[in-house]
Amino acid sequence: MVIYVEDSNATISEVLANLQSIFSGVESLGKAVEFGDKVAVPIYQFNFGTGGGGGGGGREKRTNDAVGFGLAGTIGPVAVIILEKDVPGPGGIHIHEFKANKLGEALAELMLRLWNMVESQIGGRTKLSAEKKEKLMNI
Amino acid sequence: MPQKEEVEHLIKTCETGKDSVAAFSRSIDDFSAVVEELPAVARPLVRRDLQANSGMSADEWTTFLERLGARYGAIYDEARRVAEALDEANDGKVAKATAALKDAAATLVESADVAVEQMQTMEAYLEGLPAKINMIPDAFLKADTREGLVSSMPGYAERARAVKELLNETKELLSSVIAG
Repeated sequence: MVIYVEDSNATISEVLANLQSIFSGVESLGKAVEFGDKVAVPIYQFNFGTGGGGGGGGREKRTNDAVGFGLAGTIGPVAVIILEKDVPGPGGIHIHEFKANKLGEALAELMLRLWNMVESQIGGRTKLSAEKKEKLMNI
Repeated sequence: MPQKEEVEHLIKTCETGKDSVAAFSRSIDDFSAVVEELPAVARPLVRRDLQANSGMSADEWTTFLERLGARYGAIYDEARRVAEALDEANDGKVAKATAALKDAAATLVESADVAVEQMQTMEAYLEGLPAKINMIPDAFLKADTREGLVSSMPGYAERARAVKELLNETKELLSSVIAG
């Protein structure tokens, strides 16, 4: 995708920089697929990058300046989680990697999500107010 | 005027307090070191679990314990001056030393209840942590790594409890010494 603008300014650069930081390196769970007694959940890795450039030309009083920014990305599966319907608990979870170097990050993200789901059910989280934390840090 | 026995008791409590805080701080350091050695899959899980369930990250715990240890040190120094003034039977010096002790202890007295509550939370978290780690599927944490992690934390909960109890004791003693 390429976005052409008539004039470059800091705001556009900032927006693109923010877009890059938001989308680069994001892992996401894909749609679950059921087959028999198993459910497969793919994990995808998103990698986005941006680039920009500009140029000027034309004659006096008839200048022709332009600036272009590009946004491109790749999406690829890094692992698949297999959940066995008939096996309760952690023993029913299996991981199959596609790319070893990305597996750790993807699984960590997945595990945190699973853990968060479990904790939301059993109420294990402890909130510490900013006021209390400040007191502790200044004790 | 504060009683000599109470001041001596406060001095000993502060000594024990400094040691207990240092011991628990070492436990946090040891725990962090073990977590750093965990596979990439488990590392963020354990880190975030600590923060979510104890209310603070390992770094924040370290900062808090450093401050608490330093506070115990400051109270200890001022309590010793009060004891010296009492030995000299110099009322003016006792009053001045007691005022300095009150200043040194002000933030601890003010925050003691929050600190006790936080240590209680940490104690409960540490007591349940081995069982929680054993619930992590093998796919994320291999058996030998799991055993290493669980075996790295003996006495952690007891050390947290010791700090909590000393905080309660220190608060009561300070109230008595400063009011006396």
